[in-house]
Amino acid sequence: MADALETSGEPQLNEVDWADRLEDLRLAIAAPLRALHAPLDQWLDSLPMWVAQVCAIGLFVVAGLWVLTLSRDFVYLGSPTKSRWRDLRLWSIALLLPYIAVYWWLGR
Amino acid sequence: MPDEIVSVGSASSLAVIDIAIIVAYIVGMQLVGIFYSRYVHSAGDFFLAGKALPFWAVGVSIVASDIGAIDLITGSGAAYRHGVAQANFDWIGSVPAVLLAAFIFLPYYWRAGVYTIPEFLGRRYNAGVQWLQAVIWLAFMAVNVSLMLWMASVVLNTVLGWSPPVAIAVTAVLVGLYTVTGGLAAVVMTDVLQVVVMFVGAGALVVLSVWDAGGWSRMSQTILDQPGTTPDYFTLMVPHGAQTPYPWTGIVFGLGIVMSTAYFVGNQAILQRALGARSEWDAKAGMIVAGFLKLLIPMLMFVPGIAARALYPDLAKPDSAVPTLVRDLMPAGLRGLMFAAFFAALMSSVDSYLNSWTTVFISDLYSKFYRRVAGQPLGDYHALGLSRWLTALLLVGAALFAPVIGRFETIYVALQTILSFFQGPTLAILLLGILWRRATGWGGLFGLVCGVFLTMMLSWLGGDVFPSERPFLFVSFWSFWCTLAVTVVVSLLTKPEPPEKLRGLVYGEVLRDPTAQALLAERMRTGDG
Repeated sequence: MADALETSGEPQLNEVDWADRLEDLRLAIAAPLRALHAPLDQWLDSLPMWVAQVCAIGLFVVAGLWVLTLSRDFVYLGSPTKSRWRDLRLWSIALLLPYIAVYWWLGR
Repeated sequence: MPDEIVSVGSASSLAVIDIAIIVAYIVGMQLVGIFYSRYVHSAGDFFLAGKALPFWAVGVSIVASDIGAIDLITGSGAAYRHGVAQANFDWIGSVPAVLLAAFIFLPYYWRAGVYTIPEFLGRRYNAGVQWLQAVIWLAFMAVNVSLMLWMASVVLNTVLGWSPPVAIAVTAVLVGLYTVTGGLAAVVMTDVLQVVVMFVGAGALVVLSVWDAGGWSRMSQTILDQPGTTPDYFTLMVPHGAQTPYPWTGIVFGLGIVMSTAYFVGNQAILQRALGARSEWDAKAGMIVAGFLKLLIPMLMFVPGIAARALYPDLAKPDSAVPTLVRDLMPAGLRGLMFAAFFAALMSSVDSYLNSWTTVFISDLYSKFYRRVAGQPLGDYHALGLSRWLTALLLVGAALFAPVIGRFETIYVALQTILSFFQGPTLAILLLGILWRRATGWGGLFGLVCGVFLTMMLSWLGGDVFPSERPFLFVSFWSFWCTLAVTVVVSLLTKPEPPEKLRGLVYGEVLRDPTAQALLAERMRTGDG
């Protein structure tokens, strides 16, 4: 009992041992993965920042082009009328334009 | 987190007009909620608002469920620390995703007659995947309700001086009254009013804070002149190797492609509103309306954080940015409105999770159990009564558990972390399950397990593998692709699913084949999941 009280405030030898082993294991697993990812990181680091802006805006542009390929029947399905303002392709383009402007303005 | 809300002020710092505004807001919510309870006559009315919601209500309610009181505080705190890049989470983190949800996933869910994501996964893969997903979501949503009730008690304690038990009980009764009686319709319509309150309150704070900081140009120059501010503070795209949690590669590929899509097509609370729309067109349009509103969210949440950086460059806790601005800048009347906005954000999250919890519990667990024991599908009257009782029971349980969650927030953080492990892998098996006939039950199960395991391992390895200290964006990207690869390989190595099992579950059939449509209608009629 007295021994237990004396040592209760400090980590037990086994606990320290396990923590060290776990950390060793973590580093051992991380090393090869880091080696795999490092060349990719170096390449991405070397890219100019306009590439980032192009990728972000490209995501919106690709989404917009894809929406434009959707058929008229599909986007109007369930709509009571086929008036122009209910064309969800136009809604999507109207949605994307301000996002493209924001990423153009604040993208780099 | 409640400490930050407490620091906004106390009951003594609020004028009579502030308290009048808060009381008027609470009474208004109740009246709207009770009004819509007249329309609930069946389980379908309760879960999906009788499929009668207009597109604008769907869109606004999606944003209300998405933005919680915690986001109002932590979003501005993160903007204070990291700058404009934080806005990516609402901009590129929502818009390509809402279009994918609107034009691929929603039409599919709509026509397949699916109530929940676990339900689809169970039909397409196997019961194991369904149960795993359902249990994780149920645990997360229940703890979330408890945490929100605790936060509401802190707000009410601060504003009105009520003790935490009384404040929790009052909040539970207020939210419970319209959620139990009105179901999804009441939840969505009160969400609409709550968003109006949030936008007016937070909008007033934006104007006052930028005005006090000397306008946008002067404010940005003040921040850029501060020692320690990087030139990237006012850009959305931050270099890949920069010391930030938000490098552009993670933002575009991790957030823009994987995490945001997983959120908008896999989150039950989001999905349920769209499925309650009055037509497929309204469901799609609702998603696009949510995209329009998300454009404004960063202005409301992050501009105050940036203004606080100019006005108070040495805040010890960045999360206290908004509370400090409210305390120092907002006059009587507007301060009450801001408290109402906090409370609106809390209530809109609590009611959404209550309704979704009941839907998942009954659709994915109880109805299966009942069918096995009773030998017949769950009746509509039975399901409606049970839904109301379950909502009330969950609310009572969450209220009793709230003080525990308040003391041990690590429980919530742990559950949120576990749920995040499932996001990328779930998106991968959802995509393959819908678009690829050859995906098998074993493929889905192996893919999910391997993807979750990889996510856990990469999160553990963290900064030793990736350039960022908090590499969650990279982790989600790789876990998505790993799950996709494992599911494809295992599916090709296992026996294909029989055509009769896939009937009405693969994209082309669900959207175009009239025979499959008839089968789905029959399945919905008989309750055969």
